[in-house]
Amino acid sequence: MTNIFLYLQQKRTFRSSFWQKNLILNIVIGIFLLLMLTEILFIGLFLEQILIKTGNGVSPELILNKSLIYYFLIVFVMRFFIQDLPTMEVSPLLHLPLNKSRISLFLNYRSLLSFFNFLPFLLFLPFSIHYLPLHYPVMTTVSWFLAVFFIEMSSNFLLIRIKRKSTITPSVIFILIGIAAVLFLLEKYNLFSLSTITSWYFGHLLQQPLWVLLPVGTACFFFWENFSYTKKHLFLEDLTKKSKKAENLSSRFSSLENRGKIGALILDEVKLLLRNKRSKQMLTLALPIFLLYGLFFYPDPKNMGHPILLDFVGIFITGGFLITYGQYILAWESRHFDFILTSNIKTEEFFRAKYFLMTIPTLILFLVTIPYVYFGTRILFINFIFLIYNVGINAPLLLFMASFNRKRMELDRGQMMNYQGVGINNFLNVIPLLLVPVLIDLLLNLFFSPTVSLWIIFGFGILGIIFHRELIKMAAAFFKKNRYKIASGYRNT
Amino acid sequence: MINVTELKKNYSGRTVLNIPSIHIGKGESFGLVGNNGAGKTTFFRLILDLILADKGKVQSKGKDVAKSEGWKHYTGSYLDEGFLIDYLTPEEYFHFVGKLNGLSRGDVEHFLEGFKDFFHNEIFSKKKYIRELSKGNQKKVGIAAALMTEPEILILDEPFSNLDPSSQFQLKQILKNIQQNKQMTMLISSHDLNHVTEVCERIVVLHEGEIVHDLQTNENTLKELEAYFAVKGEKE
Repeated sequence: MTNIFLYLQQKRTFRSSFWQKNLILNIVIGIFLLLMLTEILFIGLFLEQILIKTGNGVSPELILNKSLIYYFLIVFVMRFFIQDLPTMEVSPLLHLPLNKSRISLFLNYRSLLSFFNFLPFLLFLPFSIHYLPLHYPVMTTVSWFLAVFFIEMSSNFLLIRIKRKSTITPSVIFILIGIAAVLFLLEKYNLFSLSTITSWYFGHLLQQPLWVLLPVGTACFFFWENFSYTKKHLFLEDLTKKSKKAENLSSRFSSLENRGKIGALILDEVKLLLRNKRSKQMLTLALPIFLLYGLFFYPDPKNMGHPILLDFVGIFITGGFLITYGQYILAWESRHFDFILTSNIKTEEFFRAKYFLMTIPTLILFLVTIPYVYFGTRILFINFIFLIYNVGINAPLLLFMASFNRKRMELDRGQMMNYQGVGINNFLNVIPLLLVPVLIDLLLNLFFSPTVSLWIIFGFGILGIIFHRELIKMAAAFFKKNRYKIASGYRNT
Repeated sequence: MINVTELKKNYSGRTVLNIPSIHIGKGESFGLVGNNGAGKTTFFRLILDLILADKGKVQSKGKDVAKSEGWKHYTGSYLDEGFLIDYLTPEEYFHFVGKLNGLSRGDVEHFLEGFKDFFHNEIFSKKKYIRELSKGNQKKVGIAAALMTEPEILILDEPFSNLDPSSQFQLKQILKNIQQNKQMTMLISSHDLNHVTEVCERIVVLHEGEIVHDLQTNENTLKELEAYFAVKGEKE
């Protein structure tokens, strides 16, 4: 019977329109994945040397034992955001003479295919084959690796159990950030270090291999828990369970409704963003990452000497929303695009609403990033220049590029690692949005001082803002030429 | 009201619609029947400028629909779920459509009052998004929204399918009223010959993209149509 499931799964994967239509995109993603895997494997192969070099005479396994807890936690958090629940089209199977426990078993086995479960093999297997046997009996080395592996298994099954019960909400993210902050402070003031947990456990394990039974038992327990839970909940109503609670936030913006058609269109889109999983994740996950970008670069004084780098950061920070949201500016509405086309909306009005939807949040985001002035007034200046550039040039540019994006976008799945509705042009978009302004600045720097160059870029932005109506009109006219192709792309399920 | 000339649409080399000429007058109730793949939805999509004709044009009030957006002011339509905004509640959707057409909140509520029976208390009582409604209820929302703006042209694709029997009956009454008032030009397609002959004065039969019958409804129309499709069924 497992064969049947495998057969269905394989058909589902290879026949999904995603595989068939996006060959180039798949190759790009494939290359990235391969690069990442080889990098990880290299880290695994050189782990021993790395640990010896950094250890100052402390033996590598002791350092590793200490740091493993951070590895487990980081992977768990990454799983939390990236790993999807193992789903199978279960509903068409329920009425067939198939054993429920079989279906449930298969569902749980499938979760093992997650990328994270293979990481220990790349990262820690070389170490435990090459280094550990020199100092410990074979039984011990085997159980050391198994312990790492089964802790990851427990993490896998614990995670999907949590995910089955709840979804990621902003409050969960804040709680996680809170916990992380507390742990960080405890470590910083030497009150308590998480590393004692794994160094204690793996220390015992290296003396007595039987300690491996602890993670094996935990993994089995979580597996069994999952298995019985899914088995119990294999009913249609559980599978299609949706939050019954209607979202309220957007109704607070109802004053927008009195601002005519464009206000109504904006309000509708705000509802779209707040009520669909994919857009919600964009707002709660992707956006903060863009905003925090500055923290990676600004603290290092070396970076402050690189004006070009600061340009990039400036575009990213002030344009985070613009880029993540604006790339799909029409595709967000792909599921009711026929409605848009036949409704009493002029294309220009529609595009103007979109323009405001991109630029108003961008302005607000700029206000949020003003505290970066802590790292110098120059930062604020650069960010302000690129705010104007983003609003004046990039926002109308995105309205133009929207006509090239003809992929229907499903909104009920998460944003992370989700390439549904993403085309190769979404990667190419980066060139005009990010590279062009930076190149312009580079070029201007040849002739003018950095400050004057930035003011010239500011000038471009201002021109874009002054002529935004004309630019929008042109984008709308370009859209009208392509509307049939776009609409038929969006109609494709 | 609607004038079609030399209209042709191909998909991957196959002609799916070929209408040399047809005229639909003001206030006419026009029924489109035909088996699956006959080109009904394609025809409606061409009228609504959702797809590009390979040849010919559709004129609405004398203006090519592909070249002006004016028809959007006086045309109400519901073809499929692509016309619904599924993350809105039905109320929000009606108010949104109302707003786009310049109706006040009061206008919308007044209109919906008249649809109370049609909705059977199922649409508004619970705070549900449109995506959580059943297919039949979704269709009711779509049809009502198309009617709400009191358009001069109404286009509905398969309005009766997925509806429960009482809703079908009520919808038939609504459409009949429209037909008798002669204010609205109504284009509907249907697989149900009974319904369509009751509601429409004129029935056009499409087969593989071509018009094979164009009848004014009388007491024999239903029998004629039944005979036609019975023979078609045997042949195929």
